Amino acid sequence: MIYSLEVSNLSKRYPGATFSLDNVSFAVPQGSIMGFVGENGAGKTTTINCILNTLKPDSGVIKIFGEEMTEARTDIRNHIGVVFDAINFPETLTANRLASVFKDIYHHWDSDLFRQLIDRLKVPADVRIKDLSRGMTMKLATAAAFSHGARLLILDEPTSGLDPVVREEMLDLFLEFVENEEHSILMSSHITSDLEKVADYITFIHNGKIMLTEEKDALLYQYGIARCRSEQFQALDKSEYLAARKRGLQIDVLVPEKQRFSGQHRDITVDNATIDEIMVLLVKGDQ
Amino acid sequence: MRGLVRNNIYSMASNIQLSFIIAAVMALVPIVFREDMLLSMILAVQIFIFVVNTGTSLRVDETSKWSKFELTLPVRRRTIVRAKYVTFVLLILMGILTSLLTLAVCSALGMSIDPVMVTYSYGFGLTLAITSTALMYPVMLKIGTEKNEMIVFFSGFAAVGIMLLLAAILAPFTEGMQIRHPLVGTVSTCTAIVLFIISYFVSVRIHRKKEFR
Repeated sequence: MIYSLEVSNLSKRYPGATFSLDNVSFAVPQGSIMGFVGENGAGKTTTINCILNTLKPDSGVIKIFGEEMTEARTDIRNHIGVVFDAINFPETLTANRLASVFKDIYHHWDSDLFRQLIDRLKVPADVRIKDLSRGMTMKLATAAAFSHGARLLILDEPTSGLDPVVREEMLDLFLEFVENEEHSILMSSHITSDLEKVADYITFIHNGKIMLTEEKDALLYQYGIARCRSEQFQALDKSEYLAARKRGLQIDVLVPEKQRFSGQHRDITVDNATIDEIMVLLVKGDQ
Repeated sequence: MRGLVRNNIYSMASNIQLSFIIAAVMALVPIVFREDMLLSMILAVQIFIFVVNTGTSLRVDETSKWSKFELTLPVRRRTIVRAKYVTFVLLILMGILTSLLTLAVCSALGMSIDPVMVTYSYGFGLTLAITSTALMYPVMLKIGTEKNEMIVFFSGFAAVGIMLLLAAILAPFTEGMQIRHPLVGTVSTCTAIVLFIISYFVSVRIHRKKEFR
């Protein structure tokens, strides 16, 4: 399998803080969308910042398109599109001025494509960024990320704070982007419903550690949540489940193969799992 | 780098416009008041007035998270810093150009212009502008832009201090401590340029180590 992004044993500690990234490893296959999920403060943004070199990792290797990413690799950065969960651009600029700035920075800036995208997304070209709504700003950032021949998009919470209509527009754009099989996306989000719609793989991070990386379809159709009573749970072997969480008299148990589990434990009800439920169990449950 | 410089200028555009208006109005002052002392002050302020915007611009870069975003662009950190210094030079050149407007007005009015006064004014204005930016940028890069007004003020204060110090050192050659002596102006400007070059390398070093969350 060819990977657009490979993160191996990435560690990062902030001086004076208890939080740290601890040997984070995952990879984004070419032609896919990887959802990067975790609660607030789990380490999503820190990981993305390390990948993009805005933070300096203490250890670990980051490879993009098979080559190690360093500060000097401007050739690699020419093919990366980035959208942060923030304004991103100087507030006094307009979309038109931003385009003229990027035209002089990116080797493959496509002014026509940028124009088409902002027209399609109805982003005003001559309004200053500080006067745009959050939705418009994120659309503008996405249009800019798409307009310079990027093969990998790194998106940090690109849909947070957006209304459902704008979110849907953004998700459609992401799906169009990966229609080209050389394109890939790493997208962090805690809006798991968005990831259920577009992601091919999901990586869960909690407290700076990767809990699980799995195909989305496997999570939705193979994983399950067994609803156990206390005595049923006591009878389970630890190898049968990934995490468990007590909820009143019931214990929710995350199982990786619901059909096999159901076959072995016919008296236990096993429901389909959503990404949200899996995340809660991984974060709040006992492993 | 051209795109980064363009962005720096765009993000300061409204402040630059305001500086132009103030500098242009100041250029007309000799029509009413024809005093050498005042003219000297006008020339120095015109050269300095554009670089005052850099503190605000750096703060805007930080609050909009552009400082972080530009690291994801296909440019190296040293190029980002170089683009800032090129922008500073452009701002100083804008100041010099508007000061020439003042001299043109004086010339059109038929005023006699004292070359010693002009040398002092340019020496003072350039020392102030160049030293301020040379001190301001690395300090803001290191400690952040929250106190940008204070940093601008102290940078200006330090520039005057350097000029006074040089006037004292050069006193044996200028028949006593004379801040208005052309030698003091020339040496101050040269010192400011050296500081500016050192400042660039210091800033590159600070930027290389700086993390943007």
